[in-house]
Amino acid sequence: MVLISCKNCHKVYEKENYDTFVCTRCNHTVRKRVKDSLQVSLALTICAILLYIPAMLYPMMEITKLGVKIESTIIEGVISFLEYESYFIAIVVFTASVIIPLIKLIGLLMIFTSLKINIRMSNRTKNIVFKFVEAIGKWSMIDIYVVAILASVVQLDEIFNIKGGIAATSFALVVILTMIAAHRFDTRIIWDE
Amino acid sequence: METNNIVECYSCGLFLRKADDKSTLISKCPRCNSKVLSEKEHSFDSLFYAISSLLLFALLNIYPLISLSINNTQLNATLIGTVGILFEQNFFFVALIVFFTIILAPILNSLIIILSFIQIHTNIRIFTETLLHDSFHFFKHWGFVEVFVISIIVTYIKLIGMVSSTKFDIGFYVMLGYIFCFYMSNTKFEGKNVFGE
Repeated sequence: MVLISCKNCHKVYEKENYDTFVCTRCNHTVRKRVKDSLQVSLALTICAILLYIPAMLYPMMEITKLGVKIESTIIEGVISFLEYESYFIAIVVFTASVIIPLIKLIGLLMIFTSLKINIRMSNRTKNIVFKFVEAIGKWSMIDIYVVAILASVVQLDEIFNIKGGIAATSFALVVILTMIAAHRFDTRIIWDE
Repeated sequence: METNNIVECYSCGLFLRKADDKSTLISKCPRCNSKVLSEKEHSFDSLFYAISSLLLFALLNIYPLISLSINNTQLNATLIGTVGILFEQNFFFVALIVFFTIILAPILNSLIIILSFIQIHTNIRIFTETLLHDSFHFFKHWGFVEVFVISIIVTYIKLIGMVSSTKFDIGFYVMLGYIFCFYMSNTKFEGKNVFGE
């Protein structure tokens, strides 16, 4: 006899084997592990890595001041905060928009590859890294929201105008894809050996 | 074997026996040290907080979050305005994400909590228990209102460097109250209660 639980509603069953069945409480299919979790999460992470490049290279925001249009990337935005001597906000934006997505991508990739390639990393460490990646996931959205609020408040045609840049779409996709990748990944497979 | 007093650690897959069926304490998995989910007490506070958060949400849409004045022209940002401007500037995908994460998901999250209480305590049955349970967890996961509040503060600091008349408006303070009620309604709600077991 084996124990198996519904990942959706957490009801525990005692069964003869690990064959899939329908949960009597929530009607979801109960499996020992989430189907193709590693493959799907890895594919999403690779997509996010590719999208991270245009997100960093292309402008996040277009500021028009007295008819002069200035485009700024995420890094240039951080530099402008430093020029205004807003060091705290520069750190917040740099952490949320550059460091956090990078940590998420590297962390997820490291966990996924460690399941196929022998990397000297304990399962507990992998678990801690994953929990951290999951917890910081949504905080990268700060830059997208800042651009949206700025664009909403500063609308004076050619005198003073702020618009979103083309990197906004790629960056939003990076955040969403990494969040789905982390959410879809079944950490229990780390311990299945 | 009695399986009601067994829980699975969803981080490592280890099955653990609950020390006490009625225990609400968070226990830690001996193998991976992760928190093992335990059932919370069913609390009506969650319903009251959900209703309050919906009312505050309606209120914060009336007032601007940030306002400033340039050459006697009053400019301000509202919650709906932030989504609307992205649509106007043809950022449809980003606009949809922003709309979903700061408006739709939080509203539906509160509505699901209210509907769950209605279904549990009356004979009215609008949605299936599974739909309510899944929707609650889905909208809870994809609602980013707290990130949006930090973004308002970052925007304020960015704008004050360019325009000194920038100030937080009533909407921002209402939003702080909304965040509190929203957070409390989620903390005090146990998704599994919708199954009535």
